[in-house]
Amino acid sequence: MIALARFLSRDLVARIIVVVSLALTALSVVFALRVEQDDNVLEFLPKDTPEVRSFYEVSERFGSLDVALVGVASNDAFQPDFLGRLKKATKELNDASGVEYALSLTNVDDYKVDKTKGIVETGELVDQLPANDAEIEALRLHAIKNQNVVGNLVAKDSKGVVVYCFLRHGQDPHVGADQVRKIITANFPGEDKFWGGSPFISTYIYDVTQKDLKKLAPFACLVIIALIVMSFRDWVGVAIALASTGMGIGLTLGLMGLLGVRSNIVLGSMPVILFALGSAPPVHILTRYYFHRSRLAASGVTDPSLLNSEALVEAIRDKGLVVVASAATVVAGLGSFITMDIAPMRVFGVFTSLGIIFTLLMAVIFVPAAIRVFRLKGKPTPESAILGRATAHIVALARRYRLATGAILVGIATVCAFGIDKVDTRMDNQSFFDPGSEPDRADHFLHDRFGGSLFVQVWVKGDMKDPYQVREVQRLADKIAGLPRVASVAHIGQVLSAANDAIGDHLKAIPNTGEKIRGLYPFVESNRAVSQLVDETRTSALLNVKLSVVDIDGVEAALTDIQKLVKAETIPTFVLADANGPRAAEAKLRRDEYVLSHIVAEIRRVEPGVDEHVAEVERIYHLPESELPIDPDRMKQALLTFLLSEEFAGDFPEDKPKAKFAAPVADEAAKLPAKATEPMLLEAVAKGLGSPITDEAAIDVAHSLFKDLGDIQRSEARGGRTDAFLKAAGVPKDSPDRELVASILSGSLSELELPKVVLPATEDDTGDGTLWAEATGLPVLYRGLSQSVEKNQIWSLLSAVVLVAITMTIAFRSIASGILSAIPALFTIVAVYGGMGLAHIHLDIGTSMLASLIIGAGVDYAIHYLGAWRSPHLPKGTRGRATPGRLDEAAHEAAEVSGPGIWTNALMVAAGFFVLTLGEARPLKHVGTLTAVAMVVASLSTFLLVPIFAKKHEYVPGSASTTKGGSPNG
Amino acid sequence: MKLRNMIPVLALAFAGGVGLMTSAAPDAMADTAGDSALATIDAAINKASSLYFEYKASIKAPDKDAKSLGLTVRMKGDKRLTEFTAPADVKGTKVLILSPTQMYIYLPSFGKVRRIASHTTEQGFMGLDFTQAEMLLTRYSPYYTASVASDDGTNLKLNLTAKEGTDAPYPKVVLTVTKSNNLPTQVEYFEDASSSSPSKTETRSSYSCDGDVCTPAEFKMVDHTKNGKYSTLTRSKWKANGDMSDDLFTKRNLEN
Repeated sequence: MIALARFLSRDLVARIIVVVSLALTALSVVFALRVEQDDNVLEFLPKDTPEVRSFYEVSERFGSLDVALVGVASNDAFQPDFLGRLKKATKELNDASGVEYALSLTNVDDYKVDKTKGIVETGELVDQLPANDAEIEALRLHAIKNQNVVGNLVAKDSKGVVVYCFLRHGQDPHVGADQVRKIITANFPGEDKFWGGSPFISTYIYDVTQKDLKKLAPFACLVIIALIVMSFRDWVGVAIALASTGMGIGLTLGLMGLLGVRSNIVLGSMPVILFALGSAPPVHILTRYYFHRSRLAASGVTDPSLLNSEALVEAIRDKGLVVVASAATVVAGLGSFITMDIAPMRVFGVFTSLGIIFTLLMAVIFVPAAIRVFRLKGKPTPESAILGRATAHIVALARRYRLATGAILVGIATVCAFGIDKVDTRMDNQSFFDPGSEPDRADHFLHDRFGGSLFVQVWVKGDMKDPYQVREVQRLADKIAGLPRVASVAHIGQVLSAANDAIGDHLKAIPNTGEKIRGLYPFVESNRAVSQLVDETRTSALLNVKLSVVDIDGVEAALTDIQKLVKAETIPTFVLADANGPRAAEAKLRRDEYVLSHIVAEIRRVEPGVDEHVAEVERIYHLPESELPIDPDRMKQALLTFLLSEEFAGDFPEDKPKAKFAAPVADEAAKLPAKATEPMLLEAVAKGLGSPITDEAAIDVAHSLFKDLGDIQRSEARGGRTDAFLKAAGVPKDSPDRELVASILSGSLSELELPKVVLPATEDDTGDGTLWAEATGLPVLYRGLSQSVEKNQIWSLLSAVVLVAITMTIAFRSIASGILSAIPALFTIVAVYGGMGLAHIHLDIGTSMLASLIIGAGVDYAIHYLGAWRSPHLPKGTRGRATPGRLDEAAHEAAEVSGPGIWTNALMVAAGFFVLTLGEARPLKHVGTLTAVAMVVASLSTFLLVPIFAKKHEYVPGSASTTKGGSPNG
Repeated sequence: MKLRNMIPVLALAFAGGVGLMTSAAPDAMADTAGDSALATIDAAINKASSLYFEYKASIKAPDKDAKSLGLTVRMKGDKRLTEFTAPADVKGTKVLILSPTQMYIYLPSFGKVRRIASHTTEQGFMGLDFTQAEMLLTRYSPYYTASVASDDGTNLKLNLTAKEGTDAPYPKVVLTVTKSNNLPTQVEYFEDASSSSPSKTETRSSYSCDGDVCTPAEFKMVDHTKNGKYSTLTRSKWKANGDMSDDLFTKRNLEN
């Protein structure tokens, strides 16, 4: 170090170093500007975890799960002006490059079945804007009948809409979110708008953080500069200290740019951490330089150049090895990140380590060179001396009341240890915003008017062309819909039921054969909303579960319930058992349970109190048909409607027109028993027409009617039971939803006509198929990420402490000394993490970075303190155990020497970070507060714990020099 | 409800209709060079009294395997009957169009005829990029006024601008025709009249004639808003002005 110091103090060498350093930094800035930001949180998940694999595969199969939810408040969403703008905005969103698909009230698919004409009218819900009040009310009533609309796309009271924007998978969320915001704002300038869903929340957090950083960083810098100026009383010294650290950071970012390494939420914090840790070495060297320059001047040296060079050599000799050792321990601590299974954390470990090395190099090469080039003057300040003496008093108290001090610190550590147990690892976005913030307002709007804003998906693998396996999807969905904290579930069974109702069997039920399902898919598959529910191969389905909770505890509970239910209700290997076969009893039980759960789930959508009437619903379900007779008038009317509709393909004879003879034919046909044969129908038709049964026209009408007679009879038979269900559940007769629910219930009862039932395969049966289901989606990923962060945090902390202890053992050539130097860092970790637990601050990617900072700062201060540890009354290099008196002297002396530098560094970093807590961004508040606390605790614990446990005369022979009666500083 | 895609099934009934289709829309006055050329084009593509086509349709999206469809189309006057022949899932599905307001569909697995009405024109059956709106556009004069954009002696390019008060599916269409037969070779559809980039481009190629009726052997539609996703309709067999019984175009026939 002496040789290095002599070399650096040569004028030419110093100038070259300063010029080369500045040039390198300038070059680095060019490369640093090329560093791109990557905000994809998925990059933090180990790629080989099941959660991530599932998430990526689901995104590949079904499209993006990243949904931006835009709420727009309105006095009446069905007013033509509002609908027109919504229609326009929806179209613009669907044309936007960052949006895969946008769904709103206006473009949701819709159909109307006119039974009297036999016409199915298809299109979008709002094909034409309503022109008058009557049309507005008609549209409002029709929307209620579409089970995907009310509560999902428009509020029940019509006072708000939601637009679902599925952003393109794998792109920067800013791109899609910005496009959505721009389009919606342009179309709804005067309305209240609510920006919810993961893309908006994550971009909000990022934007607010960036805004706060831009706003507060200058103030933080001012505070830091003010503190250094107060310490140095020398603007040039301040500039050198800050430039040294800044250049180290610049070189690191430049290297990232050169190597094409993208920044992210973790690497984004690296400059801050490098500033906190990297500013210590130049501060220590400069304060030491000022001390020696002052001391040499006091001893009679007057030549400014000699003063400068000699003070420089002395400062480097005192602090050179210490700062190198300190940096080595920080690098060792950060090296522990390389063991993590999160790639961005490993990259963070590598580049922050490199950053520490760069800042160290700048401190030991650039700072001395700059001191020489600028002929740094300055002198120790009175404040420094006061700070040194105050520190010495603290140390003296700690020494005098070792037991009491130790007991207090152990007590604090114990309390904090309990707090550590309470530290909750959370990676969800919700923990990052405050009440009243934009995402919070969106959450409230979406929760209050639409039931929720968070979605979990359940991925089911099976044959989605098989009517029984699709029914298993519906069964699972019904069960999930009955869970607390679940608002609604969307699934492919609903789509197929609706399609079946419109163009299939006119029955709101999943078609009963594979052929029918295969026949319907081409009509529904092009719609991108459907592609979110079933994949192209029809071997996977997705259940979209809307949660009614947003708080992490509620989401966690809902997720756990869903996962348990999915596991319990999925039959891995099943058989299609004959409903009347050897396992008939088991089949009946399972079918009853399936149909009943579907009935209850559907009634619950309009009457949440149905769960109180389940027993009555069950009783009605089991009533024999004789107790629920078919109303003959309804049967007759249903037959007449069909005969008069376009769907009736038969031709009435010309002399007996349909308009006149349909009624008598319906009259006669209505009298037929269930399962009537075609000859029986022919007899009835002929009677109605007043023709013989050999009449060709009668045969034609009977033949055409026979195909639908059974369906109509069964439908009317189910109608009576359906009415009884609704009455039992308390659904009002004038409820606008009643017609929709009644048709769904009628469809549910048709399930009883299926010949097979899904049952678990027995041990000696290979089964007819397999089903597999798993919960996925962003909440699952966030939980996986939380677990990963927690696991990595524990592992990295342990390995960091061990690595630091080993490094210090080597540096001090003593295991005991190595452990002693690590004690303040350990205490700080316990205090800060315990404090987090007690203050309910969560561990997340940002706060998990604190560990490296704490270890770095804690060890750095201990090394500097131990580096100055020496009894002033003994010759340098005196080793071995010291007497209590000598220890008191050494502790006091070291505190006076190292205290000012340590406090200066701790306070400037703490004050700088404290300024960041004054903004809006919660992540900054957390990191700012905890860092400030950590710096103060690390410095204070160094001066309390080391004196208690220190036993030796000296720890680093010859590293620091003091002058008895002088003004130690640094 | 996700049924809007049934409508392009109906639209596919028009797939070969570029040689036949007539429209219910009123005729427009052709009093400029562009409008006059457009009237000539309309006449050239609507000559046959009956048409029979067999098509193979292919749908290709980026990064996805191509999907195929097979269909036959019969046309006579305003009546059209389309039957799907492949894949197996849709085989036997029939669509009967008796008039623009009278459309029926028959799904063999249900064995029932359903009458359909629709307003939606923007999506394609099984992902086809041809929509009802484009397929129905077989006469341009009722909906557009034309101006000559270029004429190189071989090809004529017309800029079509939607007439006010009509249901023109696009505000702007650029039509390129071969002057020798007045048949379109390229149709560019613009969502925005002021835009210079079409949202879709349709090419009609390899025309062949049966008597004086000429139809393209291939239609290709590229959707520029979907990363270049495209669909083709390739004609494998056809006949113009053949005998075609009216009984083919009945609801009863759908069930057979």
